[in-house]
Amino acid sequence: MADALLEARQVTRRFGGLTAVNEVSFSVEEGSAVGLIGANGAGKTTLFNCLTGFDKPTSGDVRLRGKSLLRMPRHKVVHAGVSRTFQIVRPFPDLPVIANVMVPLIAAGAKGDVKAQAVGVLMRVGLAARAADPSSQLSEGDLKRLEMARALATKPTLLLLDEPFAGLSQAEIGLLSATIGQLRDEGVTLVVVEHKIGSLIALVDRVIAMDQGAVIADGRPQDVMRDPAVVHAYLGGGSFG
Amino acid sequence: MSGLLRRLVTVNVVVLLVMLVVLLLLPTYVSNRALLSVLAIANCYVMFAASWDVLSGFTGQVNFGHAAFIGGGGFVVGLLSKYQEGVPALGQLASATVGAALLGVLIGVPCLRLKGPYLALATLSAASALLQLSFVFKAQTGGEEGISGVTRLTESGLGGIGEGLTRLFMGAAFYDGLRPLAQSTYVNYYVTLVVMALVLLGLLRLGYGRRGLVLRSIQQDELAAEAAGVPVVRYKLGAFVLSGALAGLAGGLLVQVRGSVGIDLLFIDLSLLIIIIAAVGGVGTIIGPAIAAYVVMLLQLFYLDKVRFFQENPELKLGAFSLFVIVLLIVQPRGLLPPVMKRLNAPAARRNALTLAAVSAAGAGQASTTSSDVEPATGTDTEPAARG
Repeated sequence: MADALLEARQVTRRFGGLTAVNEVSFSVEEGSAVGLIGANGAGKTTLFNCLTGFDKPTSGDVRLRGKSLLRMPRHKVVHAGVSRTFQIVRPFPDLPVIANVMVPLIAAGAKGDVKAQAVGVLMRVGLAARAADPSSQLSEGDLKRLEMARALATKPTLLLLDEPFAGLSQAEIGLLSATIGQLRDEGVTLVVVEHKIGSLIALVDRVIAMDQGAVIADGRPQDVMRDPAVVHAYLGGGSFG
Repeated sequence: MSGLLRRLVTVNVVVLLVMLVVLLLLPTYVSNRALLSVLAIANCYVMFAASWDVLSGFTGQVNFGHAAFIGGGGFVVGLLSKYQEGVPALGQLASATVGAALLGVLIGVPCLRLKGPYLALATLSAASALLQLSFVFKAQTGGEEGISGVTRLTESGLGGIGEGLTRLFMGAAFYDGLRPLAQSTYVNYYVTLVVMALVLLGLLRLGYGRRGLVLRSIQQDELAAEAAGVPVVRYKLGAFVLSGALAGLAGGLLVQVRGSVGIDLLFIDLSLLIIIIAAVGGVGTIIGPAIAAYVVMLLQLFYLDKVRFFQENPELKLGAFSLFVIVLLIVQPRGLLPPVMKRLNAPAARRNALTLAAVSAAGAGQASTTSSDVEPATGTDTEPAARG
């Protein structure tokens, strides 16, 4: 456990009487790609928010290389190396695409030609051609890329993607999946939250399945998919992407 | 700074320079001293509006109580004149600036978590609390009377700058031939002009530089800015303090020009007028509100007074002015300046887009060369992928 990049220890998050996340523990090794799946309401996004400092667990701890993230303000979590995207994209709509990526570079204290660096980041997600466009003109798929570019610009050691494929066409999913695969091959540690397990299988080397706030399976994607508890949870939830 | 931003700031600086040249030379063409007096006041209003814009236009924390900073700075100058006669005018201004900056912390901290109407109410209340406070300490502040006999600009080191500029542009013989009161009109005009120019230049540099971009990102989406690693609290509070400090400086300067400080500098009317000025000029552009301050102040204090109808019905002046604002905002909802800027920048933006497209077409190899000499992270992350 000592070499784990990210470690969740007994993370619990309650909202009043509802326990959204219930004593979840797992760790993510450096360089790995982990999928976090579950039906709607399984607690994925709540857990995700707890991991990235956007929500505080009721109890438990989240550690990056052994250092607790819980007491850090959000921007410190980002500077510590944990970066996230949003399921519902949140660009800076009135800023050009390139300025969206310049903001995290400036916030990270980048020196020199920030614009050139931003173009470099946009290239990694295949969005450099749109650099000068207002981000409000981008398609949903390109907005997801912009989210990723903005997260990448913080130079994360751990990148957490919140349902990157939600709301995309099958063609867009394929293209975005290729881009994410490329990031994984570059050595970025990934945690991908997804509702549809199908789009994940090619991307991740491990899947954690959640149901009703708890982890019900954790292992290789093909094993988790065959796990009876997972099958039951998904069939009960009515969708199995 | 991106090329797009650099061009924007260039257009802004050109506009600013033209404005300054016109204003510097204006007294040589216009002998109307009443106009110069109004313009000296307008110079202060330019700073009011531009300092409001750096907080409200950039970070989106719309301040409905900017008068708190203006009046705060004004009363610091007034009280120092009354009780600490030894403090020179320049020291008064420095105190006004620091005092208003502290006020910025005091008001800014509780406002950090407030948004929209709640923030409006809080800032509004802050200004009206100061107004009430001025009545509580009536013995010191003079209550409705205010404080008169404030140290004049002419008596300070700054006055020397004004005198020098007047001699430079109008001729030494002209200046020496004037009565003291007329001399002070010119001194006030040039001093406020110089201070205004410095403040505006500083705000433009900030607003269109890296920090300005970060401030804008907060206005666009605070949560996304945090996710991008922006220390949002620090920036929001910083904007509050800077905005307050500069408004306090300008308020103190105005008080030294007028020679008195009154509670009108704490009124909500002033706060609202500043918002109107910013909206007329174009919120979030710095230079827009600055230009609009001249338009509005000249209309309000100079031209409308010349119209017989308004001389006979002074109470309708505000009505006519409001009508002008409403019509303008219907025609140009984003204010006067943004459409002009957009037109000025259109060719540059097109060129910029073409360059970027060319860069990206050149492929990933190009990426590592464009960023190789700077931050290693983007370059090194890209290179193995490109080579391997």
